[in-house]
Amino acid sequence: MKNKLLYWLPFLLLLETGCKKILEVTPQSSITEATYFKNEGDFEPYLTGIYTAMRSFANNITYGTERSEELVAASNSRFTTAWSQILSPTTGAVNYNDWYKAIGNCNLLLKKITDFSFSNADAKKRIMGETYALRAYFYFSLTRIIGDAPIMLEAITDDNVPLLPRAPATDVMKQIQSDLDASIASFRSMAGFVPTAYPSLYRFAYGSVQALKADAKLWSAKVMNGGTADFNDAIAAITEVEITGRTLNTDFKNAVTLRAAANPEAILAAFFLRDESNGSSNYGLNALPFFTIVQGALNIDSIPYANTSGNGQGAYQISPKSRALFTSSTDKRIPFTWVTERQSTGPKISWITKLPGTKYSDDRISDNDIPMYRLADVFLMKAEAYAGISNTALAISYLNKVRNRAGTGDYGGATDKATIEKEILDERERELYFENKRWYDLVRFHKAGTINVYTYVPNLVGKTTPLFWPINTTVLANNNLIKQTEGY
Amino acid sequence: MVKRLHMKRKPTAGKLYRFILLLILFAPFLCLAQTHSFSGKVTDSAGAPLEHATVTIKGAKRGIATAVDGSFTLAVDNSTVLVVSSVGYTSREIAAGNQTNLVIVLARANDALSDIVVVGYTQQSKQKTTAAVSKLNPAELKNTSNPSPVQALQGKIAGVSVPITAGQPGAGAPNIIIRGGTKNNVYGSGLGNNNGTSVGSVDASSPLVVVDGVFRAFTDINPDDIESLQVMKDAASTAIYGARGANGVIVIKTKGGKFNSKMNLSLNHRTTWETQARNYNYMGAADYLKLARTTVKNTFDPIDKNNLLNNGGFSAGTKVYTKKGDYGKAVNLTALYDNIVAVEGQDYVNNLLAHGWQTMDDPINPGTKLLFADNHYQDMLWNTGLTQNDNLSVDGGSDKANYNLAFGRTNQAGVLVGTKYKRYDALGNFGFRASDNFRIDVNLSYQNLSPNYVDAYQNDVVRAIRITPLIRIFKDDGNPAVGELYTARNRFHTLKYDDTRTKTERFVSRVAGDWTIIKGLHFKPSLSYLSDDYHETFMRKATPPDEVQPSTQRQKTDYTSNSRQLMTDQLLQYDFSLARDHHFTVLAGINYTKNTGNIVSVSSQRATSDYIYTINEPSTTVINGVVTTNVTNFGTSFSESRSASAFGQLNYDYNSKYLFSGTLRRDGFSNFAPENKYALFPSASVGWNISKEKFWHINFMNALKLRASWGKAGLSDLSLTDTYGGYSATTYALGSGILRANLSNPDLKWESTTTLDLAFDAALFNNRVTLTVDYYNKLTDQRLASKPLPSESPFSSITFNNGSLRNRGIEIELGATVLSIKKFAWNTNFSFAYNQQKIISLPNNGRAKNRQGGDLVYDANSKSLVEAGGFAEGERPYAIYAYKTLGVFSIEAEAAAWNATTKDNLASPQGIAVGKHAGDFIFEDVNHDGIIDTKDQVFMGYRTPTTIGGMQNTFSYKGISLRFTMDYALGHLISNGALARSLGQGRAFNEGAPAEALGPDIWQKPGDMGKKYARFSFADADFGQRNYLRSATLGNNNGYGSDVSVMITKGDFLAFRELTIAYDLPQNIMHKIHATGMNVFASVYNLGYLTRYKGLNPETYTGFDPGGYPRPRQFSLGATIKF
Repeated sequence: MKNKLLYWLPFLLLLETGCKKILEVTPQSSITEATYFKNEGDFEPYLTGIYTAMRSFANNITYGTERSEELVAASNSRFTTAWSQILSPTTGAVNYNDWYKAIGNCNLLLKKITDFSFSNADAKKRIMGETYALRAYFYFSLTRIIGDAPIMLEAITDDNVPLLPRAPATDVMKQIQSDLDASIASFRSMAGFVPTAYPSLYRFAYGSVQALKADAKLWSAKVMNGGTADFNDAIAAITEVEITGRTLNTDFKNAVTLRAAANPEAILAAFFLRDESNGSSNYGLNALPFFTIVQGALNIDSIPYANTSGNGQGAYQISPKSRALFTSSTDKRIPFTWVTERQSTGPKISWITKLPGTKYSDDRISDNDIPMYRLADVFLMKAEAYAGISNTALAISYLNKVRNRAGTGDYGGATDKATIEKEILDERERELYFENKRWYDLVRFHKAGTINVYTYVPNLVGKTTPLFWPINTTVLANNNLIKQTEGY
Repeated sequence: MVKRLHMKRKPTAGKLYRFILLLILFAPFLCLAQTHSFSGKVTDSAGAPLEHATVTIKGAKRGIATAVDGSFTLAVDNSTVLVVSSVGYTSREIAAGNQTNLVIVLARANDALSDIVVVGYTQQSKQKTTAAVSKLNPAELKNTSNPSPVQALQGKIAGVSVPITAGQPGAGAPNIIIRGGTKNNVYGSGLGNNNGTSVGSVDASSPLVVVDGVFRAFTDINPDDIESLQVMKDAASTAIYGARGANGVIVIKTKGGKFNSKMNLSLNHRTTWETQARNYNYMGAADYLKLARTTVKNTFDPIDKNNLLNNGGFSAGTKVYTKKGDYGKAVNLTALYDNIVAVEGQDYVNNLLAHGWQTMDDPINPGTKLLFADNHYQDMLWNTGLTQNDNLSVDGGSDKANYNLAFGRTNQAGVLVGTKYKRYDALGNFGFRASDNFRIDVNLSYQNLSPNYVDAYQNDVVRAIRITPLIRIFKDDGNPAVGELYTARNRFHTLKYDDTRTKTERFVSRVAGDWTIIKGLHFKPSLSYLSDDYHETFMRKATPPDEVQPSTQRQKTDYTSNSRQLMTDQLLQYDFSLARDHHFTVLAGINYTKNTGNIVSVSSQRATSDYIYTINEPSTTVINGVVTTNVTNFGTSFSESRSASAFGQLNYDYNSKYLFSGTLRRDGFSNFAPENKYALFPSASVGWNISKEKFWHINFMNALKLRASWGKAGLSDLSLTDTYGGYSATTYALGSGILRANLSNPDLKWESTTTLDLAFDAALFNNRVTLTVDYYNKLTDQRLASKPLPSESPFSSITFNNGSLRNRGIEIELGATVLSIKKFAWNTNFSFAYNQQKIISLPNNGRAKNRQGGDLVYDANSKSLVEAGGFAEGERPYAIYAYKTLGVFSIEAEAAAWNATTKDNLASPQGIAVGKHAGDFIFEDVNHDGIIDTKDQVFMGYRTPTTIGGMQNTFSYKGISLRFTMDYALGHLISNGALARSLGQGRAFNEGAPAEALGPDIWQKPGDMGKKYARFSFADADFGQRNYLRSATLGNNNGYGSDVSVMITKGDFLAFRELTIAYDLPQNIMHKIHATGMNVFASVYNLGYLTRYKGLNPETYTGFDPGGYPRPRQFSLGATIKF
């Protein structure tokens, strides 16, 4: 009996194989640090991943729009205190970790790729070119919000995070320019380089890197007193953009309604599509009304409303101040900028029509691409740069390219530098309204003396809120080298 | 010798199976044979029958067990001496003589000291144990109104906290918290939103649950199957479980059969009716309409008044209808009387008025007649839920085999319409004496659960059940309306168009052997396999096209999660004695556990029809000429983790007087890096039964034991990616991307919890009173938790061995027979536990107290800004801060004066422009800087209770027993978020108004002085002053809570938990129907609370009560009959 019992016990085999092996598990459904970046093909998906961060910054209008004059409340409200210009270390302060997450991803990719040999050298150069451009974009986005910023270039892999102070904005700008130059050099060094190539309008290409460079140079020229040299650099960069073969749409409607991929004017756009999980709707969602708040409108068919408040929040409308800039009634941009809801009781809300979403069979979805750079914007940048170096004639010629397409005809006003610059600022609003650029435009023109933003923006009147954002307590607490933004 | 009733032949498993089957089939018709020899009945001193008492003939090896009525029958001769014993009672020897029908009364032994307890892998008498182990009185699991044993634990065991916050059928607790747990946030700090969970952001900190030797969850175990449930709290008892023991261990044994016992058949039925225990007192439609319209008209808040009042912008707004039929399907019920008459005709309106519609003169526009109806939504939502619970069990045994087969069925309907919990379960416990020295135990258990939860707690419970009385529930065509929007959707619309099915099938099998190699030396191998298959399917039918549409249409989901656990233990145990008084138990063993999981998740939308429940769509559809995917989700995953351990245990006692026990366990877990996989967990404990000493002469104290234990247990709940880093998929521009998802930390080590326990167990007044007092000090080191990183790093945190946390406290368990007069007895148990939690150390980060997180607040004492909140050394975690109100502005002039000097930066951006008016809260500017901001947060207290406990009373008289149980918790704060949200109305306008909005405590008109509450308003968060919907960075910081001091009150409560009356029918009646016993009972569960908290649920430990699904009051009736 006892012997039989031994057969009965199928248990006795364990632990004989040794304790080490018994606990070795090969993960089947997770990618770990040990398994990734082992293959040439691992870099491209990682780069694709980083673009989701670009999209999320392009889609954040707290920093690019809310502090400008563009918006007032509609039926609902989705403003942050940035809109009311009430910013303090305890209200509306920034935790910039999202930017450093994005920058960290670039740092990691760059670290891993540098010594990795590719079978296709051009592929590596393109990936590096895009990654440098993305890092430049993230730093540029950040320095426009907070000015001085820590420069983190290390690829962090554990809890050892060097504590960095905020570098002066000029140093941040140097870093941005150095990344942009590295990006441009990387693109140019590709064996098959052609400046006109835009493999995807949703990703950085040679032309869009030059557009970003021009933008950064304009900022540096005006906000950091870079002066003539920076203006000239900006002009040179835009000249490079121009040779990439983009053309203005003849109809303004197409400029703002065509998807970037099919839009001859697009240079760089953030991709949105309703069925892409983390990019299914953009900030236009807040501006679209929903049915119950516009029902009964006499012109309801021209109002881009959503059926549900989930797809249109009815939060913002165009401000009277922005509307007033459209002085010409022949301006073809008006219907693609706003529509005033007319109830039987009279005109009501002026709903924004700039990003009208796409009308699907079930509902309207805010899934337009967000233009980051398009040719009209770049023309106006060039006009601004020429005006900056007092070449008003060329400035006007670029201004007119935009005006003529809009049907407002050649500029006929005064041609002194100050007037032209104000005109360019106004034209940018008419052309680029609700494209998430206005606050930065205002800062540039304020710094250059064209306007006084403290009298220009209604909510800033009587306030002294600095142009840069305060840093929040979490950031300050976790790094004692970080100083609060000046003025708070 | 004992005459056995069963077949003498050795039953093989197959024969036994057939026999049992026959018994089940014919049981009701069986007339059981009786012998005519010695019959008796065993009762306790109060006359209550003792079931499962053992009666043996002295000198014989085996005995029989008494039936439910305490009766037994044995063949005896005159010289026979019977030994009658029962756990928890003093044994007696009775000379049979020629007596018959004897009633044998057993005196209650000192409960706390004579019980058998499981300590690790061995059993000990409680007298000899040196560990802190509490047993749940099995009576607490009898006739419970709830299908889960978790509820029955509540308040019964000192130091065990069972936070059940929701009343959904089948809902458990987010954690069972023993001695404060080992994490910072064991009660949770957020609102749940998936799978019916009511609480979010919880650190998992539940004890290891061992059911019949298998590690598993026990929420869904049938309470009727449980024979014993014990909770192990200190390291002396948990260290042997090593890796998993840090949060305590709950050991459950299910009922088994007994060798040489008659077959017992037991049938039990219970019916429970549940009703709402505490509910919202909402205004009816007429009051709400008046209040809403006048509030909007008069407010200074910059809301779109015309849209709200005259364009149907909210439920109390009118709208001009132009098309016939539109009103009958409109979102809101409010309309202009004349307009509806004009569009729909007088007959239509007359018909409405005949069906409950009402009219009213527009309070803000006299002369205009409003037409409206009260939707009576609350009355339709909450119903009496009915539960049917049936149990059948058969047990018995021969000298070679025993068995217990039990089947249970529960069908519980909750009070909220459409919530259910269904369970079928089966249990089979079999024991075989394969030979004289080998015994096999087989345990099989099966559960089939199909709960119908409200899946999305936040939207579908917290929001959807509070819509205003003027939102249309049913359209004229009889179909339900959506309500204002999908995120606060009419529940009846959900029930009609959405079909959610969830199902869990769980099967556990275990085979265990016990081979007696030589006397005292046992080899005990066991192997168990647990399979758990969860399947969730969802189908949303097409909703009428003229309605607001959901974001995904005709959505279908199919989600399957299969998990498996293979576990084996192999033990070698040697019990021996030296020189008669030195008793030893030496044990060594190994455990290997492998857990694997497989998830398949698929969902699609735009189904072509509603006929098919499963996914059957083409994967793409062309929309606006673009090929668009119908797949909304798809993915599969595998997971695997393994642990391997070796352990040893030594128990020693000298004559039961001096006790020592030691354990050592080495544990390995696969998710750590190779060099950190293993850890060692030791424990040692000593005990002294001082009352056994010769010098002991304290008469009233008949037993006293001192004990002390020290030891370590671990926790390894980390994922593979915490150690090795993770990358996850994303998409951009329809391209697949991959991004790093978290930082790796290969240096992660085991978390370990070291517990010191000092205690005494005493019995007084001849065991009438028993008392156990424990002091413990529990230090959790190398906590596996996330540590914040500087904001310049690519991740805001990293999983880290993040400092240490201490829980220390005192537990008291007191048991007493308060009264025992003739046949009347009153027994009581009382428990008390006080726990103090404190963070002891954190990794050095250069900040004062190495604080992690937190914010700056103004300290009035030092007149400076100080850091507070987050986690800091020396502080108790999860304080609540709030903005303090100094009252309510009575008149405009008062508000204007305040506006001149102070600005409230925390009001909404539009509200800041408007400034304060009469009726707004006066917030305290603590630092007098003229600005209300985060620096003005003040400390209120803590979210979690410090003191918990309960009391159970049993009164018995003859066959009648009455039980009354209570439990309490003290020391926690609750923010009445539900009230705040309905007084401030969030950013939507779809919540009903509470009675408080017109009550005596609220500001209603200029001149109202000394009011507690600020004005009722709409869109408080979006356009208003954020009087109510104000979040403090150091507060609950949740949109469904309110970090405003006046909304926060103490949550201390005494819950009157259960009142049960049970009656054992007299034997003579039972004999007539050939039954051996019958018990009937009636009970009420959740009678009510004694508390100052006015909101829905004082059992809220998350800091805020968002409302939702309150625990119901349950009335049960039932009977158990045994044959």
